[in-house]
Amino acid sequence: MTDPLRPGDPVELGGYRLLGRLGQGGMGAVFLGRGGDGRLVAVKVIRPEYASEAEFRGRFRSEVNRARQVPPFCTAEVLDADPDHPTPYLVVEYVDGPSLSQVIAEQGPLTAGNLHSVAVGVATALAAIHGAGVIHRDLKPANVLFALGTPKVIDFGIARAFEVTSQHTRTDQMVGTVAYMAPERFDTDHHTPVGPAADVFAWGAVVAYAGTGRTPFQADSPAATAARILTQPPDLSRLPASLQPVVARTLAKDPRERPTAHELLDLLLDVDQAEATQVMRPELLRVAEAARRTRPGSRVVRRVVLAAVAALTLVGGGLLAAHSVVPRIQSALNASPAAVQQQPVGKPSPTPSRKRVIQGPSIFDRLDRPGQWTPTRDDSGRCEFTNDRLEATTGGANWFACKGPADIFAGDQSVTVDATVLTSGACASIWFRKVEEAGYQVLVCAKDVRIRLDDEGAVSGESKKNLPPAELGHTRRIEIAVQDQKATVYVDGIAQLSTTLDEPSLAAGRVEFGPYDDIQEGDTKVAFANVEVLTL
Amino acid sequence: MKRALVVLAFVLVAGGCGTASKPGAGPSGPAPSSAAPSSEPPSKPSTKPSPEKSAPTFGDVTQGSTKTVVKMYSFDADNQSAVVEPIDFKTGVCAPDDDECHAEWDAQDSHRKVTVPVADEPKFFNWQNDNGDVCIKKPEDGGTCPMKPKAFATWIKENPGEMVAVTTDNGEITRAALVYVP
Repeated sequence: MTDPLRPGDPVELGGYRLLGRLGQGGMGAVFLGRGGDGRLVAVKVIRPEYASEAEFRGRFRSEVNRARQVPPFCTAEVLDADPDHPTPYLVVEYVDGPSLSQVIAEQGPLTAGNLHSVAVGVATALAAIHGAGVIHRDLKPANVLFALGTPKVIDFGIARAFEVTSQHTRTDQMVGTVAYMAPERFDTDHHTPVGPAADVFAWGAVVAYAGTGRTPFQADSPAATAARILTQPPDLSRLPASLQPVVARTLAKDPRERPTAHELLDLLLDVDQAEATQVMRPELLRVAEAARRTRPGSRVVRRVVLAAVAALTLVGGGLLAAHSVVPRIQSALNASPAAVQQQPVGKPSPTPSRKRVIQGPSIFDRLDRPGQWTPTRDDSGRCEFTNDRLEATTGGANWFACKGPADIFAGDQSVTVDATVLTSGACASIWFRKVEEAGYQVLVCAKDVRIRLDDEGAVSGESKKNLPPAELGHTRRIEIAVQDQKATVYVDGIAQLSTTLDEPSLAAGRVEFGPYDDIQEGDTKVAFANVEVLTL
Repeated sequence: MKRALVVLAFVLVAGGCGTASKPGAGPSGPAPSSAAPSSEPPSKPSTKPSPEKSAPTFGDVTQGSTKTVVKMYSFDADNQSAVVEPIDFKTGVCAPDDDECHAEWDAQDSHRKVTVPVADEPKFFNWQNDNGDVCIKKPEDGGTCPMKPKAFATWIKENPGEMVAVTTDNGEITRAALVYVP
């Protein structure tokens, strides 16, 4: 469920338009957002008290880097993050469906067949997560979502960034939910490292909860629950008999006695292969089999599973399609094709989203051949690579934009490019922070340079400065430097203009080039070369 | 036998790690049959320091001559152009005392996309040939089995952003080899 934005909530962050609130957690608020490519995403905005700590930012960056190596395979993919943003944020695949905890709360424990499928799906996710060297640390029913009937594990790996930030985490505020915490996580005296086995323990607790509606060490208070976890055997009496031995092994007090995630998959798929095949769709079986062939360590793991993931995605129904558990899941299964396309389950993220984990993106292109910019032609104008540069001409309109990279630049940045006016009345147009048809525009004309806000052709806030006379064909080196929301335009190294960038909807956007016909004479031509865009 | 030896050499270079990862979705066919079975334990830690302790370094492919690993986003044979992102590619990345680290390689992105000219007659290489024989000397050098330009272009088109070891001479790509990671 999405709630409206509250007063004071950002409407845009890092190029993502925020549409509503999905929830509020310990790390901060989670928003539903839409990326520049139209894809819906979940944007997790970090609480300000964390953002002020260099230790946290470093840990956050490191953990996000690892989390991004996890195959998008029964997991919600980490798409983007900016630990260095004034408001650090994390962007993950948006999973439009109920959580396992919601399903159990509304419908009660899962049937044996569905339980087995969820058990395999979550174990598959753990194998993928551990295969990338990541530990989830907060696996619980609320972190298992159903998209188109397929379980997807969310929030893996990120908890560690918060866990080790001691200033905010006391012993009574450990990251995780007590009922799913392994015994070793309560051992604060010996600083026992928490390893993948803790996730396997959580898997056992999650499956027990999904099958019985009760956690296996359930007690009246968190303290009593912790005590039972440390001293008592789990209560698995109401769990289907076929799963009891496996779940019991995962809930062993000694982490060394628990199976690894891959061994767990082996147990689930091998103990009764016939039964597994019977209750699971073949597509899930294939991806689970693929996952158990993987082992920790490499991006090849991604490649191995992608074909199987694609197969699962194309089927769309996922593992619960043949065994609908609740109406909400069934509703998701019946989603329209358009809705299915909006939720690219298991699909690797588009490259534009892979940008800002360590630092902002940058671009360099001599513009002497097609590359990041490509030839463009329609009735409004054309852009072509001639004379070792990008030459752009207006046609039926008074402006034109050459097709360039979709990379989004936010915050402080600089755009540097050689601009040449080739015909009378032409101006070289440089847009930055452009979103759809709106953006800031710098016009380099024969006699002057201007900066203004161009909102779908409606121009406002224009500043203008005359330039020393130059003949047509004279090339000028233009730099637009944005720092602290102030843009300064340099021409051949000399500052000419500056303006404040105060349009809130244009905090980030693309960089584009094109011709502008200043005197409406038609067919004006300009050229660009040697572009460099930097995030500062 | 040749294939087994090559794989063995590669595994040793990569940090002595057995892996179950089968490059079945690789550019030209199935994984080498001599890859370690999936039941093998996770890789042994490397003796090299953790990559988090050193700043990444990225090759400059815009000028001069260099040899580096990049993510290649597009390759245009007709216009002799490629869009790449230099990365810092390392193997043997786990510190000995990092029990949570299971990575056999690590790649730090530069987040800098560069359009690079391609030389007139560049050489392309794969890490396995059509028979499934593996040809790798060092992971960071990419494969050594010759690959046809058209096959390379098709591979990049179908797998944008995959890692490629490139050699540049005078700011032009003269060699491009697909990188296999264990």
